[in-house]
Amino acid sequence: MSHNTFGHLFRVTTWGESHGPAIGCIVDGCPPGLAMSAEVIQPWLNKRRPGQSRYTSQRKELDHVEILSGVFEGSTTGTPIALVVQNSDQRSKDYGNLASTYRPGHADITYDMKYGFRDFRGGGRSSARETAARVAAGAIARTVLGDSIRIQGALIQIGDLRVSHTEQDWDAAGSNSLFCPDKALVPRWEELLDATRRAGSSIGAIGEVRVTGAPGGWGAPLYGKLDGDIAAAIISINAVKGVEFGDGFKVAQLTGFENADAIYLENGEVRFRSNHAGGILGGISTGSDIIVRFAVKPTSSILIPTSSIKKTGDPTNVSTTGRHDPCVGIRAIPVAEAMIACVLADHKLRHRAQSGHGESLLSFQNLFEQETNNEQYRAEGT
Amino acid sequence: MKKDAVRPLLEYGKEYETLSSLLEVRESAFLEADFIIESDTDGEQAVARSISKIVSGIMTSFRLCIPGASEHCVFVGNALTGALAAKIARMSRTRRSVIITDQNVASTCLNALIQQLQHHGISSQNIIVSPGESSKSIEVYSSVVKTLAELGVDRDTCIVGLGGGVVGDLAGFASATMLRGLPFIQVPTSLLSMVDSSVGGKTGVNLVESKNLLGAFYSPGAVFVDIDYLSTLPVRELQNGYAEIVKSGLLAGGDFWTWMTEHIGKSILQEPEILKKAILFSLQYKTNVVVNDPFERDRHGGRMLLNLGHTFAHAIEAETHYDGSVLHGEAVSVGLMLALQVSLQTGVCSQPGLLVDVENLLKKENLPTSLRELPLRTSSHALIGRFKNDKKKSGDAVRFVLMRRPGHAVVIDEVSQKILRSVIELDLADPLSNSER
Repeated sequence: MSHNTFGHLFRVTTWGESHGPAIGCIVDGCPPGLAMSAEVIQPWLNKRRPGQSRYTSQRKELDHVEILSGVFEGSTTGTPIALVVQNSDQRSKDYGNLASTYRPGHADITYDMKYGFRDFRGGGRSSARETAARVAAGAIARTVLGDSIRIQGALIQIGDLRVSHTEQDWDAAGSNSLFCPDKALVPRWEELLDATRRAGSSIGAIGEVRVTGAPGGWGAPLYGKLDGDIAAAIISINAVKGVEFGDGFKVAQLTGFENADAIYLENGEVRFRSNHAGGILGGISTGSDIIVRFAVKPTSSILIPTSSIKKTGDPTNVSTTGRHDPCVGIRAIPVAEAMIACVLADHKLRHRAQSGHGESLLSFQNLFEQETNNEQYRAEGT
Repeated sequence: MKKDAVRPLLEYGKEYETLSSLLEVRESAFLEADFIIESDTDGEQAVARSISKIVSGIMTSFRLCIPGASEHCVFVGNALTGALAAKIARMSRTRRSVIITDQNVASTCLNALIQQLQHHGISSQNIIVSPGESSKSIEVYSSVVKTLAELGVDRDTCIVGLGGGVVGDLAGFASATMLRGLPFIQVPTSLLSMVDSSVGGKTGVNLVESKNLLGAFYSPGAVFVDIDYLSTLPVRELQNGYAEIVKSGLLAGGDFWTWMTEHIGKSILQEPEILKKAILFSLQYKTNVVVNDPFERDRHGGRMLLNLGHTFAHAIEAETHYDGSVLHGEAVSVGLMLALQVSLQTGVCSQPGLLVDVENLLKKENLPTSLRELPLRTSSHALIGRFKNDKKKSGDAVRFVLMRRPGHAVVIDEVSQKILRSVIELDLADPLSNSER
C-alpha cells in the first residue's frame, strides 16, 4: 500500500530504512527557477543530526545530502527532485531477542497485528533515521516559502519543567543543543536529563513551532484544513502523541468572550488583538503567527525491565541495553519545523492554484491609502 | 499552695513513717532519673544553681526505651559538660571515669573536658588511640582493654567514648566486654557520630575480612550530643556527616524531607541554626527506628533500612582498603546516588527528579555524587565482588535497600547483576564521551 507520500502540489515521498545503504526522498511539484543546491539543504540536516548534544543518541551519522535530479545549474527545473543521504552508521548489531519478543511501547506488536511479520533490524521504516529525509524535503519547502516566512521550533517542556512565560528568547533556542528558548531553564533540564539517563529511563517533552509571516488565506475548509494537514504531518513524526494549535486543549476552560481574537485594522492590514486561535480559523490561515504545539512520548527503549510476551506467547521481561535517548523529543524539533514547512509550501501552491494569488485576497489597502491621502490633504490645507 | 493549708502527708509525729513508706514505693521510679541532685546540705539557691548547671544547655532529649536493655536518653544541646558530670555521678558512685578518645580529639577537647569534670567532682583517666578507621581493629581493641585492666577499672567506673564513630564503636565494644559490661556514655564529637553511630547501641571492630564483623549491641547509659564540638571540626568532616543526614531525610520522608528539599541550593552546614535543626530531625528519625527494631531483627524494614546506600558505600570503602582516602560519608554520598539509580533502573522508583534533588543536596556540600569523583580506580566487576562480603547478605543474594519515594524504602532480596552492572557502568562512563551507549 502506498503510505509514504504526503502533500498535493508540493508532494514528498520518502524511502529507505535505517539499516539499508541509504535513505532519501523525492520532492515532486517544486516550482522551477528556485535557487537550489546541496549547500542550501545541508545546514538543516546538520541541525537535526544526532550527536549534537550528550542528551541525544550518540550515533555518528554524517547525513551528507546529495541531489540526484531536478536541479540544473543551481536552479530547480520543475521536475522531481531526488535527494539521497547515505547511511554511514549501519553497524552490525546483535538483534538478539528483538525478533522473538514484543517490546512494550514499541510498534513491534502492532506491526505483527498488521503485517504478520516484521523487519526487526532497528526500527525499519519507523526508525528516527527516516526523519533525515523529511528534513531534506523541508529545506526545499523553505525555499518555496521564501525568506519572509520564518518557521521556528523550540522545546518548551521536558517532564514537568516548562519554560517560563516571560523569559523566552526564540532566537537563542536555535543555538543551544536542547532547543530551549529559556536560558535559565537549560541547566535544570540538563540535570533532569542526566538523572533520567542514569535512571535508565526516559522522559517526554512538548515542542512548539511558530510560523511568522505566513499570509492569511492558506488552507481550505473541511477536508483541506491547514491545521488538519499540519496535525497529520506532526503526528506522522515518531513518538508524537498529541498536537494542539493556539490555546489548544486549554480552550475548553475559556468562555467565548475570552477565546475570541478581536479584530482591528492597522495601516490597512487586518490585525488580531490576541491569538487564541493559533493563526488558523476554519482551517485557513489568518495572517497571525501559526502556533503549533506537540507532545512527544518518552523513548520506549529503556533499561528498566518491563513485562511483555514473546512471539510464542510466553511471558518475558524486556529491557534495552546499550545506547538510548533519555528524551527523543529534542530530536523532533527540526523534524517538526521541516514537516510544517512542507505543509505550508503545499498550501501556498494550492492557494495560488485555486485563487490565483499567493497572498490574502482581503485587502483594505485602498481604504488605507484613501485615508492617508485625506490626512495629507488636510495637513496641506492648514 | 494556700498558706493555712494543712499538709496531711507531713502530719506532726508521722513524717518519718509516711516518707519512708512513700520512698519504698517510689524508689524504683526515682532510680530511673537521669540526674540526682543532693539537697540535704545546701540551700535552695544552691540546688537551683545545680539544676541550672545541668539543664541549661540541654535543648532537647530523646528517650530510648529498648526492651531487654536499659532505658537511656540522647541529650542534645550546647555546653553539656555539667549534665555529663551529673550523669557520670549517677552511673558511678565513686565518681570515676575513663575517657577513651583519639589524638585529634584529645588535642582540641580532652584537657578542657577533664578540667570541667574535675570541677564537678569527677575524676578521670584517659586512653588515647590513633585517629582513623585503623583503630577499629582487634589489636587496638586488645590494647585498650589491657590498659583498662592496668588502670584497675571496676564495674563502678564509667567509660566515656569521646570522639567520632571509630572511638564510639571501639569504646562501646570495650565497655560491653570488659568485666562483662561497664557503664558507658557516648559523647560524639563528629557530625557523623552525632547523627548516626552514637545512637543505637551498635559497637564493634573490623576484621580483615570485612567491616564491623566483630561486635555487640550495647546500649550506653546516655548519649550527649554537644553541638559545641562541631566548631572544632574540619569542613571535610562536617560534610562527612552530612551524607547520613541526607540519607535519614530520604528515609524519613514527611516533614524532614520537605524541610530538606526547601534547603536545596542553600548550605545547611554553614548555618548553625539550620544545622542544629538537621541534627534534631536526624536524631528523631534514628531514635524512632532504633526503638522499633533495636537488634536489627526486621529483615525487611526497621534498622535494615538505615543501610540505604551502604551496600555500595562499604564496597567502595573496601576498594580503598580503608586507607582513609575516601571518608565514610563520601562513600555513603556516592552509595546513595547509586542506590537511587538501582531503585530507578529496577522500576522500584519512577521519579528521576528524586535523583536530581538528592544530587543537588549532596553537591551543595561538595560531596561526591559519582564513582568518577572518587580517588579510586574500580570496576563493576570489583564492586559487585565486594557485595558478597557485605554482612547484609542473606544466602547468596545481595540484599539492597531501595527507595520507592521519600519516606518509603523497601528491602529487595535480590537485585539482578545485570542492573547492578548497568548502574555502575553508566556511572563510571564519562557522560560527555561517545562510547557510553
